[in-house]
Amino acid sequence: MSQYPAEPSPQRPGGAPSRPAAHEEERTSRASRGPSRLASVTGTYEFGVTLSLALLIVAVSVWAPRFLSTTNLMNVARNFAFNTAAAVGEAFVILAGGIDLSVGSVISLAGVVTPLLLQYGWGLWTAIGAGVAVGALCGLFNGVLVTKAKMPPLIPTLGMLSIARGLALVITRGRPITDFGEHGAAFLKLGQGYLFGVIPYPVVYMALVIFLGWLVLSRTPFGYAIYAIGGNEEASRLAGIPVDRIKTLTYVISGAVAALTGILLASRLSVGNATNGQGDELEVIAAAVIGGISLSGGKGTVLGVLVGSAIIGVLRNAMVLARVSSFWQEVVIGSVIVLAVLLDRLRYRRAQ
Amino acid sequence: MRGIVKRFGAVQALKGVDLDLYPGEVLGLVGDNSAGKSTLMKILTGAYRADAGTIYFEGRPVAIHSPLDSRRLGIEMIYQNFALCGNLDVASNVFLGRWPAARLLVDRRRMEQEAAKVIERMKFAFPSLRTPVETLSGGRQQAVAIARALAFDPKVLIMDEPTANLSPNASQRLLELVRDLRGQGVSIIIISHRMQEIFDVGDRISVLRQGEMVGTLSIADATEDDVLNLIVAGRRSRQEGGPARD
Repeated sequence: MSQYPAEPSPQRPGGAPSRPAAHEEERTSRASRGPSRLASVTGTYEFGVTLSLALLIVAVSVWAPRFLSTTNLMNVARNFAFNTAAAVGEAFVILAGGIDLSVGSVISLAGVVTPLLLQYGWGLWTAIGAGVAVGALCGLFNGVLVTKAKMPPLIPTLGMLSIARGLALVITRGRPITDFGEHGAAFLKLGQGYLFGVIPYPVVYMALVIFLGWLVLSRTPFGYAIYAIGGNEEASRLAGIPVDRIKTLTYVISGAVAALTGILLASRLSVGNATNGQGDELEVIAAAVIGGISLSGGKGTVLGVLVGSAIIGVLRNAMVLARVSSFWQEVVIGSVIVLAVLLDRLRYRRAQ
Repeated sequence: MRGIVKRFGAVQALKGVDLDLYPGEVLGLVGDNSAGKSTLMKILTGAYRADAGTIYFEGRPVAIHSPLDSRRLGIEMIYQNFALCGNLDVASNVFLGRWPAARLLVDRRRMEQEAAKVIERMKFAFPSLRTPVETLSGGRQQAVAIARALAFDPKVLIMDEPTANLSPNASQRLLELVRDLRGQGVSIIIISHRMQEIFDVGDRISVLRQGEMVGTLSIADATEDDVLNLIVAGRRSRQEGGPARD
C-alpha cells in the first residue's frame, strides 16, 4: 500500500487541528516520503556504530599494520568473544526493560563450580551442565524478585553480584583452581582449541550465541513479546502476554549464558578463579549500550551488540599496541560509553 | 454481570453492579469521573479481578482471571490511551500477544496479510505496516488499536472514550464503523463523555454513579436531560422525588 486515501486531512477548513497532532502528522509524512530504503538504513543507530567500527579498524590498521594479521585479528576476536556472548544474554534482559548487574559474578561463580566438579571426578558435560544450571538459578532468583516481589531490577541483581562473588570465594576458599581432574585436557581444549586450526573455539561459541540470540529475539513470538514488554509493559499485560514469566525467563537466559561464558573463560585462562569475571558486568552492559540496546528497553538488535562489543575489543587492542597504560584504558572505555549514550540521546531529541 | 464488587483498599469502587449487554446492541456507559466505568470494564476484560459477583457470557457463568481469558471468549477492549507498543510496527501491534507462528517462528507474511485485510475492512490504509507506531499520528495509532480489537472477530467490543483524540471527521467515520459492526451482530459498549455520540449510535444507555448502577434507559425514549440528571443526582428528572425508576 503506497497511498493512504482514507486518512482524513488534518487541515480542515474552518477549524485548526490540535497542534501536537498536526506536528506529528507532518513528521510522519516527511519520514514516509523519504527517498528510499537506503535512507532508512543509513539513518539507523546500528549503521552509525558499524561505520564507527569500520573507521576505527581502518585507522588502527593504517597506524599499526600488524593489527590486520590473522593471528592478531583472531586474538582480538577471542578476547571480546566472552563479553560479547554475555552481552547477548544481557540484551534479553535490557530489551525487556530490566538490567542484570550480576553477570560478572555469575561468570566467576560458574567458572569455579565446573572446575571444582571436574576435580571431584564429574564428567566433562555434566560438570558444564551443572555450572550452567547454577547460572540459570541465579537468574531465576533475580527474575522472581523482580516480577513477584516487584523490586526494581537494580536491587536483586546488585545483591546477586555480591552473593555469587561471595559464593565463588567460599567454595574455592579464595584459592585459584588449576587441577581439572582426569578430563582436564578436554576441558582446556574448549577455551584454547581452534576449529579447523584457525578459528578459536570461543569465537565459534560467540557466533553461535549471536545466531541463536538473533533468531530468538527477531523471529520468535517469545522475542516479539520481549520487545513488546520493553516497549510498553502495561499494554503487553492487557494484550494477555504472560509478562512476569517472560521477564523471569530473560534473567534465566542472561544467567545461563553468563555461566557458560564463565566456564569457557576458565578454560581459556587455565584457571578457575573467583576473580575471573570481576567487573565484567560493566563491559558487558557497555557493549550492549554502545551497540544500540536502549537502557529504557524495547530497542536495539543483537547484531548491534556484536558491533558494540567489537568496538571495545578493537579499541582495547589498539591501546595495547600503542602501549597505553591499562589504567588509562579504563578511562578511555568509560568515555566511549558516555559518548555512545550521549549520541543516542541527541538522536532521540532530534527525532522528537 | 451480576453484583460486581471491587475495593481498592478502603475505597469501594463498585458496590454490587449489574450490567446487561444483548447481542448486537450498542450500550452507552456513562457516569462522572471515578463513577467506576473503567473499573467495571477492566473487570470484564480481566485486567482487574472482582472481589465479588459473577460474569455471565452467552448465559453461562465464566471465570475471567486475565486478559487472555476474556480475549479467548471474544471480548476485546480499545483503551483510551490505545495500549500500543510504540517501538513495534503496525502489524506486530495488531497481533500483539497473538503473533501467528509457524514452526516456532513468527509468520511475518501471514501477519502482514491479515493485518492488511483487517485495516482494509475498516476502510483505512497505512503507507506501510512496518512503521513503528510511535511515529504515527494519533488518528493512525487509534486505527491500529481498533484493528487489533477487530482482528479476531470479537463478539463484544468495549471502547473507552473512542473519539477523545479524534477530529470530528474521524469521529464520524468511527461511529459509522460502530454501526457496521452492530449490523454484523457485534455487541458494543461505548464509554463516552460525549452524550451526543451515544444518542447517535446507541440502543441503550447505562449510568453509573459513585460505584452504583443508577439506571438504564432506552435511547429511543430518553432525553439527554434524563441521562444528565441520572449522572448528577441519581434520578431521572428533577420533578421526581424518589430514586431512579429502572
